[in-house]
Amino acid sequence: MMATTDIKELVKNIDQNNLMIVRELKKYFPIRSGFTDFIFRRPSRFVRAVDNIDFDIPKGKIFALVGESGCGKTTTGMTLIRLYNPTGGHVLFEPKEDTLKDLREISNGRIMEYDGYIDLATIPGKWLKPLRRDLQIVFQDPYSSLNPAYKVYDILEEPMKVHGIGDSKDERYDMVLKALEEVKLVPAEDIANRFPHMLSGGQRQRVVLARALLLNPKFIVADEPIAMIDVSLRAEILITLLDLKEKHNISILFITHDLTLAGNISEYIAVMYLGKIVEMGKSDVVIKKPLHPYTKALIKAIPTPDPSMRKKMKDIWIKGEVSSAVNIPEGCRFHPRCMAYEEHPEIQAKCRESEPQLIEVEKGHYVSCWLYK
Amino acid sequence: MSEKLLSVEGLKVYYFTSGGTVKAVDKVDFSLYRGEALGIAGESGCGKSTLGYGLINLVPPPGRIVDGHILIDNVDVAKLNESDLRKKVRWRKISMVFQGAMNALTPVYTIGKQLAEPLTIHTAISYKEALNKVQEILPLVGLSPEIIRRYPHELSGGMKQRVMIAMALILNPDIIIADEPTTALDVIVQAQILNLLKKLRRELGVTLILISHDLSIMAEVVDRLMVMYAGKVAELGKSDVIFSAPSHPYTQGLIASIPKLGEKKLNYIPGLPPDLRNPPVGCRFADRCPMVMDICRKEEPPFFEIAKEHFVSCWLYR
Repeated sequence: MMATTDIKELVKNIDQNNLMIVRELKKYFPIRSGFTDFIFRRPSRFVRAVDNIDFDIPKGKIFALVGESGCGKTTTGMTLIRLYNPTGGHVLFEPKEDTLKDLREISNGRIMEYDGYIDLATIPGKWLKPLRRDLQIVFQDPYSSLNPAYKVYDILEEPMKVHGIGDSKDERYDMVLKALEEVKLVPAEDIANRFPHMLSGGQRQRVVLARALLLNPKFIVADEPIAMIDVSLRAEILITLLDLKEKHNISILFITHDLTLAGNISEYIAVMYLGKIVEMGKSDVVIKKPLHPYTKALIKAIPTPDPSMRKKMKDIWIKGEVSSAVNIPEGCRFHPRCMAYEEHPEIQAKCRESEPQLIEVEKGHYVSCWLYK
Repeated sequence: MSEKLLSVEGLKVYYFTSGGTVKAVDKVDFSLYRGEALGIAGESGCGKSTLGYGLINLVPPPGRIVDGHILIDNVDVAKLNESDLRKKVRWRKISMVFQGAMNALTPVYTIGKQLAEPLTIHTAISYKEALNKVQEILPLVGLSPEIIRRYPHELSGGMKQRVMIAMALILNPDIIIADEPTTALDVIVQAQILNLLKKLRRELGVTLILISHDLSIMAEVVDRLMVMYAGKVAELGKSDVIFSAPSHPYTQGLIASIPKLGEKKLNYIPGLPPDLRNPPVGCRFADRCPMVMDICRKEEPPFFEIAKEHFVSCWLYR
């Protein structure tokens, strides 16, 4: 599956304000076919987890990807940093100078460069190692992302050893302590000598954050980083994350199911439904003036801390359940659940037959819905 | 208020661990009235789930009820033996939707069998009759009766949670305890489940105890709110009053930390709750309290009734 956008067209006018430029990104997972499928030559089927999405992540900003479970938000994050190999599309990324130098060396100068940007989606896996420093991830579950047999110090030293950072053990030890202090894990020496089981969920997530920061990344995927943390500690971790982002000028792809949280911390929001971005824009605009019926439904469903409404039923502006990502509905993939579809008979034929594109309805505010065309 | 269904007096539930005794619920008093929804809120580890287990006398070992009374129909649930609890109390008088229980449905039985089984055990009806009863109950929780032939893996998370609620309803109890019923569900499904709880209250007159850390969910459902901190009740009162004018500094902090849609502020209460193996003398919130006074570190605050049916455990209201 080749991307239809030609890379040469794409790189003609790169907006240097963006750290990442994602175009027509696709990630399909094949479904294992059985013996009878083989005999009857049934076509192979795919879970279309990420189905042709476009977005830009500006330098030093937080871009939130919001959606329900199964909408493809985590797959998008993992594909961007090549933990998955994309099925198609382009991801232009501007690595650090040093990283670019190492890339040239490792590839014997064969790496394609476009004004300092490279296409993450197409570079061969064996050239990825230097890029791992620039691209880091914080997973949702701090209980399973730290090796229980390693002390915190060893966990943090490991990536430095892999990437040849720090000349001696002493130097690396100092760097570990500094990183621990940066994520507000004090006294650092004490924490460094503990095993993960001796830390609380919040402390573990800070260790994960420290591990990501030690390699001095340019881009972090934060995949629901506070979903498994005690409520009372969430805000503290988020504030630490925001401070570090400012200090090191890191761009963050913040993956969450919580639109309120996305609005609290991010500059941009993209709402995903069944592998597609349905709405995207500045976070204030998307939250205060949502246009897509799905975004509206999500916002209406958020519980409000106002007890006077408790006698009334909450207005749920959506019907049915999420369709399967294997058999994505024809036309607009949201139309079987859409309430606006019910209210606007004049567009129903279009919704059923053709897929709406993500179009700019007002400056910087993108929606893919036939209501706005 | 109407008839008192449940009253809890001086309830203490401790966990006897090798590291010491954890005083998870420490002298809790409250009453529950017919038809109301009471919320029990607090951070993780404050004892809210343990209290829920305590009410049906099902505290997991090494925990147990150490002291106090749980009166339902003049019977003290805390003193009953296991066989009486099973025959007379659990699921007949009071049932519980456990946290994460939707993942505890057995994958090898159909939904119908899992729902009918308690009926055949607790009542004298046959399996076939029980299945009919199940099919009557399923529409109440918004599920189609044909679902009895399906297996748990064929259902979505929201549907499984509805099955769990149906299971809690099956013996027609007076009281249902729902422990974090919407955690791990997507926001739209969460709204649907909350609507279901509201509907059950309205149509069946179910008396509900909702346990959650999420105050926004509480505001959506409950009439009265009980805020717990470190095994103790910090504040108890009508939710209208508590949400508009919280009195305990802890409740104030909690309400200020509710994330609001479209705001860029992140508030939180600094510090950590005390170790319940060794709780501090005096007020347990003193170390994190912005309004701490000398007396707070010396003496434990009693309950002050600052307005009718509004209790606060804080020396500020002495």
